[in-house]
Amino acid sequence: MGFVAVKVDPEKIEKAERLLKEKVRKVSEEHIKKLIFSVDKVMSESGLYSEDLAAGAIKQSIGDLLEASFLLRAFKNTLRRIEYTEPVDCKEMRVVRRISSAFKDIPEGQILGATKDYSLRLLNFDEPEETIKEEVSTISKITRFDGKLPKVREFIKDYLVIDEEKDDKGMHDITKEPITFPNPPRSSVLQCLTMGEEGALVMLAYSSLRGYGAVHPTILELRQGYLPLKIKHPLTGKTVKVGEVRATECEVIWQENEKLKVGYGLVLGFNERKAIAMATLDLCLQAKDDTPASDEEFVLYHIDGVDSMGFIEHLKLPHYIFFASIFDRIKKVKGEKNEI
Amino acid sequence: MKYNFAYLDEDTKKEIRRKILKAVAIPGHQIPFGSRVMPLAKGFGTGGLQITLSILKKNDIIKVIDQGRDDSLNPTNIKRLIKKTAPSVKITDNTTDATVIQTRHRIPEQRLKKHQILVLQCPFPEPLRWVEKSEAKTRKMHAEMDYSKAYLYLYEHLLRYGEVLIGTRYPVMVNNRYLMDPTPIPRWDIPKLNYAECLFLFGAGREKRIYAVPPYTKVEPLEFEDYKFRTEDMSGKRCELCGSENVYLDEVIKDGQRYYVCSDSNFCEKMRKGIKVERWENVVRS
Amino acid sequence: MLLEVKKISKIFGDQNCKHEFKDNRCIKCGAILALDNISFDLDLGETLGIVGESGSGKSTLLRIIYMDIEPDKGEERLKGVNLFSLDSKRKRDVKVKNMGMVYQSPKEGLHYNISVSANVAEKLIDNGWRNFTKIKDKSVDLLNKVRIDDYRIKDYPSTFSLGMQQRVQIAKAIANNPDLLLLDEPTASLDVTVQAEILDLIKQIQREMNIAIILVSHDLRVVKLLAERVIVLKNGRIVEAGLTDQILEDPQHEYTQRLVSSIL
Repeated sequence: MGFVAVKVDPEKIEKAERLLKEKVRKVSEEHIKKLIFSVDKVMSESGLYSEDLAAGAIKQSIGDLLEASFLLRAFKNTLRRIEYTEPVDCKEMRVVRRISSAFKDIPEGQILGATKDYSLRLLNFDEPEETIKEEVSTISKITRFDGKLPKVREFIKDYLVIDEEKDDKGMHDITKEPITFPNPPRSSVLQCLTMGEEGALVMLAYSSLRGYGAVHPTILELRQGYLPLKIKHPLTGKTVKVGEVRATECEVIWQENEKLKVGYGLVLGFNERKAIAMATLDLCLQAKDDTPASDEEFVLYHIDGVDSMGFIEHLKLPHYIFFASIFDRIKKVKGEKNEI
Repeated sequence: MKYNFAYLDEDTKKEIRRKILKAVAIPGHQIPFGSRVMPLAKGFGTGGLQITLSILKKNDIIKVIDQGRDDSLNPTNIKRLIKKTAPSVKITDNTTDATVIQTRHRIPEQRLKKHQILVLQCPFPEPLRWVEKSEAKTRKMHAEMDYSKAYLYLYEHLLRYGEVLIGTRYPVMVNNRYLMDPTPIPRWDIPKLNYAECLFLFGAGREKRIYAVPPYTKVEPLEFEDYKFRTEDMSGKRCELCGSENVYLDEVIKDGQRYYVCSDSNFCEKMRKGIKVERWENVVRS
Repeated sequence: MLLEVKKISKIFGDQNCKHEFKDNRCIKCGAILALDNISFDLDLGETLGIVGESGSGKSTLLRIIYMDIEPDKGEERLKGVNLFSLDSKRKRDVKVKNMGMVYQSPKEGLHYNISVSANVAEKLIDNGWRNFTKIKDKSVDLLNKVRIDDYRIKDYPSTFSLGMQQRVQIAKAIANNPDLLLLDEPTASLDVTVQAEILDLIKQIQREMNIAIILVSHDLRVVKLLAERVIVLKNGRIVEAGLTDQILEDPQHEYTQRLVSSIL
């Protein structure tokens, strides 16, 4: 009889990897870095801010952004933690864009910045030189705020309810301490949300807005810009700035009976959609509701792109035994004996 | 890039070892751990891998199998990582020689001894997930030993079909205290867990849990007094390659015909070579 | 004395406030005084009715007795043991062995994704039964007792009428021969003809089992039919208590008078 076991040769795996590398040999990482929304998505979902590494990961994964996040996360894992920064104050953000949907005019004004929100979604087949030049000069006239830009929230603070109980005293690093239920600490919840896959967060927030959920909020403030990171100097003890990251912060507001509640979102990189979704979900999770977006375990367990992607793809691994055992049970019930 | 021995940094290994000790001290109980992102995707055995890499010593001999075979994709990839980051560790297909065996979905047919450790890759650590979605609730159920929903699940099957329809992941009671998910091993392998000489370690990377069955621990499948646990029925079948009976067989369809072959490739090879293999003593009920 | 309920109070709201109540609402934080200083006794073979309008606190009281929720003050002694002082595992044991609860809506008391037999079996399994045939036979027994036929035991609760679903709840509640049976508006969601069946069933249980029953109802006719004694709740307080016949004939408290007159 001609039954031969199929073996996998380690050399074949390496050859497959080389073939993939060949496909992207000519793609330049410098070019990829310019696609900032791709780079930022990967940085946010991996929880590692490095434009060069993110661009490299995107190249290595041939544009599969989730795979790129995975590569970065795996790499992040090999790095030593040198220091934790001081808590960031987003008022110190060097803002390139800052809007509020709640108020027509806000202190220091609405700063439109570079956004495609008002553009027509038409695929550009040819781009006349003149138009580009015009646009670029407009953008360079936009003011960037150095120093502290006040939060819109401060001006209505008497009307807001901020749940003091939810303010946990410690910082919990979810890459070291897994999130557990019930009552996970707030810092774990926020970390989980900010590293979640954009599509998952958007979907859950969308479900709430559409009615499968508790919350349909208004954007109190959305800011995008460069956030300074500071640490305590190991020798002098003074606070020093060590760098800047692109970040997007969003605060949404929701009416719960006679109170106004705030939902908070902060993501690495420029990603307004994700920041808004995160802030919305923050509110949903605080609502005691039995809709999917308010189910803490459901949301926090299923938004991680790296986890979910891995598990979905693992279905491609052999499941012969799993399937045989189900098949065995079904046959048994059907009355077939002595069959596997 | 120079990696630490067996890829993981020492802090990670320390944490995982401590969690393993805790798991061994409380047989069958799930211990949360800070599961790291590994160079393999979640779902491809990162939990088992983290355990293996944390316990490997420089002179260990490792065997890695998936569905009983050493040479398929998942084991090959895992062995590549071990070869690259722990070159002094010998890699083997021979169950007799291995000191650490990492496995997906099977326990070898050859009886394991007290110097051997079996690390199982676990997709779902929670045996009660079928009957209760919420983690907060299942933790309480374990704390209070409230397992009646699991029995109820079996009851409903028996009522409707006269058979328990659980295929793999058959829930077992460990040390008369914790209900445990043995991972998707076939029911055929369940009796091997009971009072074994070797140590069983279970790693769930994505779900971030470690648990253990120490040597000589009571492990009993969940059953009713009058409807006892039964394994798959292998009677009347034999392996096409080595002729063995009374062993777990895979069904293979080739050239329009059905064959049965040993799932455990090393066992099959030994049978073909006429090498004697010590089997597990536990009663196998089918 | 089987059951001694002493000075049970329950407040819904801010636990940290030093409350000042006016009309059952705290003027400082808005908390609600749901129950205030409730005490009563009950023995085997006795049926106690608890009546009052909606919002009087009767369901809350029943849930506290069944230990679904915790009171802020008070004791519940079952055969001398203060149940509120037990840990959650032992509370569960007491619930399984000594109590049975029938919720107003069967959706609260039944699992809709398993058969009615399994629903009843759950109580037996909770009590340590491990023989499938014995569990199944007993479940059939209990279902028969509440007049559900053998051929229906594998059916899901949603395939039964509401009245029959209530009967399944009753079968489940008496499965372990408890000392105490609690009924929360058992007939409120049923139409009149079906109500009679349930009341009949409860009467039969009274005859055949030496059991203590607490029956919550806003319907005085139901209470008159089943309970020898009654307590009347208004805004979380007992305004009147005594023999049912006496109270219905000659209510002392103005509130009770209004209740009684509304049924005539």
